[in-house]
Amino acid sequence: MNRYFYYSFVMVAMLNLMLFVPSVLLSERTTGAVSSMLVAIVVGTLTAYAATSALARYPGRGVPEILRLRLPEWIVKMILAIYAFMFFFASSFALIAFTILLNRVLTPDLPVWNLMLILGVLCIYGSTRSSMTLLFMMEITILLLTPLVLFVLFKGFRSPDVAWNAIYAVARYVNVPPTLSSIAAGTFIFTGYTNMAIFNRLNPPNFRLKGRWLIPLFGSGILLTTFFLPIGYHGTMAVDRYTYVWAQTADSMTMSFGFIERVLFLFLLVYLGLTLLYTSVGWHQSIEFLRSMSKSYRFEVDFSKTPKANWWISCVFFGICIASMFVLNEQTNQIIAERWLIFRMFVELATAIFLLVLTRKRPAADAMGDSIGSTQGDAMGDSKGDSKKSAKGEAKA
Amino acid sequence: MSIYKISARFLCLLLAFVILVPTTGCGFIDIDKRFFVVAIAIDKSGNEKKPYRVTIRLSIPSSKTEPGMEKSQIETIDAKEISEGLRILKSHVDKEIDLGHCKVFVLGDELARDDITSATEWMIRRRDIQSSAFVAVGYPDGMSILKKMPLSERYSGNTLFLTFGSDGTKSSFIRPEKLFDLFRRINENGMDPYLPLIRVSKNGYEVDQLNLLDKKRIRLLLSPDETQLFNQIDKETINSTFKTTYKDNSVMLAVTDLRVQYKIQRLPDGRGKLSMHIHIGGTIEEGPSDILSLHSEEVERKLGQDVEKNTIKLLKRIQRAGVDPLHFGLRYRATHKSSTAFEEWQELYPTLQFDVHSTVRIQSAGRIH
Repeated sequence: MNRYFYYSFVMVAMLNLMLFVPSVLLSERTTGAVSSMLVAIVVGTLTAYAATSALARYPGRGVPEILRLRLPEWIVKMILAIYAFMFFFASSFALIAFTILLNRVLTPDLPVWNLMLILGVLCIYGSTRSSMTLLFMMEITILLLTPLVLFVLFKGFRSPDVAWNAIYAVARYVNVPPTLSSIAAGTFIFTGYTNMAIFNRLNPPNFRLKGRWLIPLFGSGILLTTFFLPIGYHGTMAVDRYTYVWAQTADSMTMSFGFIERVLFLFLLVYLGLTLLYTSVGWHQSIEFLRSMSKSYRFEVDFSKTPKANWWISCVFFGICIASMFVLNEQTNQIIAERWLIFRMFVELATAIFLLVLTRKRPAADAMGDSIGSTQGDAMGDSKGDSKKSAKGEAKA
Repeated sequence: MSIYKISARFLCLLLAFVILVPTTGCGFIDIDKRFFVVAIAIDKSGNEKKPYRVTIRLSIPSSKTEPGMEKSQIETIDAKEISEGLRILKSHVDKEIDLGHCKVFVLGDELARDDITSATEWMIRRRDIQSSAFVAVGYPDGMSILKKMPLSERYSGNTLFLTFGSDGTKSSFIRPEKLFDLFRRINENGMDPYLPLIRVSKNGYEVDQLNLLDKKRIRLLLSPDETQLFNQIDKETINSTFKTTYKDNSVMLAVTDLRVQYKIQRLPDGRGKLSMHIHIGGTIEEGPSDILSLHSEEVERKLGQDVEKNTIKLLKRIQRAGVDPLHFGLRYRATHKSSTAFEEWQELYPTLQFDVHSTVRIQSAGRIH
């Protein structure tokens, strides 16, 4: 199970390499982004550690179940609604932003909502699958795409076109005090752990998360790359003039002996895969949160027949996305993204602390024995018999 | 029950397909109905109302790819704006014009001596133009460069691609400039743009000189020798040569190892000093006999002196023109206090002193000694 956590982490980190985070950071490159990134590495790592430690005490249960253990029902319902919205918003916004980007760069003749139809339908299908299927989907996609992303980044850093002096010149602004929006943008790289909110249901009772030192290592690597590599390519001034700075950076590289010379197209395809995966996973989390609002809901981590509720909720998400395509554009997206990044940082910080407090009294060893006998025992993903039982329970509800 | 289920599924599938129908759009045009532009030249027309002359070179595909057999179509138009010119040109040809393979942009000399900003902004703004395309200045104008059909060309535009790209010739006199780099240099504090100069020769093109620009227009044209030295200092280009004379014999050193280090200091009296050290290692390609055993040290010293003298001369010439293509300013910003560094640099640069040292090591004398 360990590796699934890291797939989720890598997925979010790599996705944010391209969307929103670089543009927020780069616009503040001389007014505090560099020091903010250092703060973000610390804050992001600590939040991830706190949240994963808290969840590790309740293997086999997602956040809805953990909340129900201690809190009155109406608070749980409210919190779950907020989380459902957060996940829906984050993933839909990524999908919308990427669709607009794809439309601008690849298919300018196509109306943008039209492109959204295709991508959205794919996400409906992906998000209605069971949690387990999504984990497998995540594994396959990440294993296929990570080498390509790392290849592009490696190629980028090795190129003689990188002006290292520009990178050093910006790095010297490290003494400017950090800003809230830059810290918020920086911490977003580290938020892959949030998907554990639901996927924790699949963790076996004896689950221990190993290798957490990878979080600061990989996270800060991606964070520094997303900020400094575009500066290396476009200098300290021009970097701020591009609407899609990472698409532009990829376009500035060439593969003379690749099948396609322009790295941009490889990069767009890779990020198409990542965005679809991220949105599917995000919608799935949101669906699960919404359905968990009903107290009688018995979750299943693996099912053979997709529950109708999944389809309905997903279709509503899809509809909202399509509708928003008529309203949103690059400028509004940028403004919303900045505000939203700050909002979500506080929610995530609060959640991490809250979860830590909530689970503080419970020793880890206790959790193991308890979760096996618990009412939510069908959390063990491999027990197919159990999932049928809970399917009946759901039908009754 | 089951029939109902199946039909529901079928309906969903049908719905999905219906959604896909409008997405065919009008974006798709077959490859044989496209005209691939391989190079664009932008000149000044001299006409007040239509200041730009846009020339495009269209590749005509043929079944045979033999050197010299390629065919191109040249279309040219005067227009008020570059993009407008291109749109009118679309009506002059029967196929859809595709800029995706356009890898060379030639700006006319006259335009480059006036203002390149709007032409560059247009190129960088268009999404279908590659950011890694090459930009150059054509002399006397861009159109004559495009009209030249080099003898050895296997397909249209290939000669220019190979000249600037790293797959073909690797000459130390050629300094390619990519579009994104040009845009970076135009905007950057402490880094000024340059553009290579293309001339038409009998069988093809001559690219051995470099134009240095301030943010807008050409300020200085380097000679071929200076261009090579510029490449050597900036990019540490090996496979280049240094030359000197020794006892009325000319000595040529083919460089196999080149390292350039420099440091910019602010002296106590407020003036700046640039200390540069050039390490050169190479083999002798031309020179007196018995050079290695008898005159080695003497020749090394002589080579070193000449390198120092030429380098200082080049740096001073660039300094006098008021441009900074070697990005000394950026280096100063990278090594000094961030917020005030650039203003300081602008004060320092006009009176900057150059202090160049070199060490030359002759590694061998070729097949004869």
